[in-house]
Order: sequence, then C-alpha cells, then structure tokens
Amino acid sequence: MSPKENKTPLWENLVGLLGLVLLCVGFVFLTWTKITAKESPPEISFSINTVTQGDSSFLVNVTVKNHGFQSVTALQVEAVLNGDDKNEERSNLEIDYLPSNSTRDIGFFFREDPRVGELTFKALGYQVP
Amino acid sequence: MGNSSLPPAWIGIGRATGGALIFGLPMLMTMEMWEIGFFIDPLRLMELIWLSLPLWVGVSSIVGFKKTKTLYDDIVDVLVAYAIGFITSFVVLLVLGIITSATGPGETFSMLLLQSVPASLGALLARSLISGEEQFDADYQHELIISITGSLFLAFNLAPTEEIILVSYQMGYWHICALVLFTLVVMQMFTLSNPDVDPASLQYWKSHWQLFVRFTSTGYVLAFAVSLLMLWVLGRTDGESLDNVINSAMVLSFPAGIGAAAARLLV
Repeated sequence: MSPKENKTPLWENLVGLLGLVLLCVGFVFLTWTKITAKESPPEISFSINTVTQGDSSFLVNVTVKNHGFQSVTALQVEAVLNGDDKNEERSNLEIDYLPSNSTRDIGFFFREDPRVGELTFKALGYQVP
Repeated sequence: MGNSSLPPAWIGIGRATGGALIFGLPMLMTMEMWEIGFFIDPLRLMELIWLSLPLWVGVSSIVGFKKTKTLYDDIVDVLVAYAIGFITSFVVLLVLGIITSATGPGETFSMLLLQSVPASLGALLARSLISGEEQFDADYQHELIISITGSLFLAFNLAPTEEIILVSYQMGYWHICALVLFTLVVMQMFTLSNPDVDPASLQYWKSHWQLFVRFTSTGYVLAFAVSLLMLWVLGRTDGESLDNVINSAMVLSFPAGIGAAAARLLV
C-alpha cells in the first residue's frame, strides 16, 4: 500500500479537529471549575411562575434555583399557605438532585386559592451527593 | 478524496455513531450517570479522560475506523471517536429530555464529558462491532489492552449504580471469598474457550496453570485496578472505610473481570 493510499481522509481530520477542540475546551472548563470551586453551602430560592385553578385544587408552578456552589440530592422543599381564615395548608415534595447554579420546575397543589393569603416556601433539608 | 480503499465519510461516521450508541446507551439512560455527571469532581473526570486517551490509542492500533498505519492515524481515530461520542451523547440526552433549558451549561458540559468516555470507546470499536471486518492477531501487550478495555466497559456500566455499594454491604467475608473464586473460575473458562488456545495442550495441568497466570489472574488484577479507579472517579469511595472500598471493588471486579476475560468477544 503506497503512502498516498494510506492518507487519513479529510473528514477524519476535520472531525478529529472537532474532537480535539472539545477535549481542550473540556480540560479548560474542568480546570477552571476546580480552581474557582468554593465551599459555599447550597442557597435555595423559589419563584412562582403560574397559579392554575383545577377542578378540585389549585396548582402553583414554581422554579427552584440553587445559587450556592454545593450541589444537593434528595432536596426536601415545602410550601406553606396561610389563608384568609388563618388555616395553614402545607404541601411538600422531594427534588432528586439540584446541581449548583441550576433550576428545576416543580408544582405544589393546594385546596385553597394561593392567590388569596400568604404563600411561603422553604428548603427543609438535603443530602450531599 | 482519492482514497478508494477506505469507506466514504458517511459510512465511517455512521458506523462510529452506531458504536457510540451501542456502548453509550446503557449509561445515557441511567439516572445515576446524569447525577454523577453533575456532581463529579472535575479533577477526577479530567484524570479519567486523560487515562482513556493513551488506552484508546492502544485500542485504535488494534481496531478503529480503518486499518491504521501510523500513530497519527490512531490519534486522529481517538479524537474522531471523542467528537462523535460527545455529539451522540448530546443528541440522545436532548431527545430524552435530560438536557433542557433548565439545565445549566456547566452541568451539561460535565455530563457530556463523562458520557463521551464510554460512547467514544463504542465509536472506536465500531469497525469490529458493526462492519464485521476481520479479527486482528493480538500479541500479549494487545491482549492486556483489550482486557483493560473490556473491564473498563463493564465497570463503567455498573460502577455508577447504588447496587454495587449495597451488595458489598450485604456480603460477608465468605461471600466475598466465594465471589472472587467464582469470578476467577468464570474468567478461566473464558480464557480456555479462546480460539487461540490449543485444545490438545489442555490435557496438561501445566497449561491450565500457565493460562491462569498469564491471562486469568493478570486479567483479575487489571479488573480490580479498573474497578478501584472507576469507584474513585465516580465518588463511590468518598467517606467509605478501607474495608468497604475493597469489598466494593471486589464486587465490581466480578463484572469487570468477566469484561476483561470476554473482551476478545466484545472487541
């Protein structure tokens, strides 16, 4: 087989170059992530997106964000609705995992209208992955 | 391109994508792998990729997209495999709804880098898996590279799961001893069933012993080392006692050892 027949095809060189770029960017990204890593605890915030009325309940769609550097698993969150009649209604759930600087969209169901009364959220606990 | 002895680009890319899917899908559709992709220590992931590069080059010198002749060809094959493994992982995770607009760019990139390791191995092995091209004649060094590759593949499939740790907790001392013995017996059976072994020589115990030392026990040691590496890279050794780490590695060495012994069939 002559050297010309053995030549690496152009497509392999181009795709290989893409692979090299991806790996280099990957190494830079991972190094940067390691260097800039801080031991800050998770900071969980909640923002209400929509409130939808169903046949027998109200659905509150919420975006949960972890502003901290620590990623979490099994994050327990709770929503508490203090209605006009001073009755307290709670709804809670578990988020499988919430990495650093990431968001998850979740929903809470309530019997009472959350638009009437005070609705508060809090993170109850988590596991370190 | 004036290279009539090689398949056209679309066939090469198609084969590599198919290989990446065959090897990558079990991990792309495993929840633990998504989570670990988010939480993995960046240095450990980087070390895994660094370690994979020379190993993949060794694999490429045995198989690959074409009958490579030079080190440059092998390196290009590995880079192509990583590119296709990365892109294939991205498309699959996007289609499955794992990567969404809510997924942060950092976690997406980490997850794809982790997933691209097994997917790139699949892409690299695509020729022998899909095209059915002829088998190679491997020397002992190549046999060891194939063994490490086989054990790495099966260890990658199982190391992310909780079951490996749970099983190691449930097993007592005698269970572990029995598992190691069983692993060695199964590995020796694979070794003896290798077509390169002359059946006539197996009537002598000395041949059995030589094969055991040369392939089975060496393969087990490699599988154990690969298991320890994978458990460490994936954070499964963090906070565990030395006993638990060794037990977990021995449990993982069961599939990894079979992967090492059966690697010739996989490759």
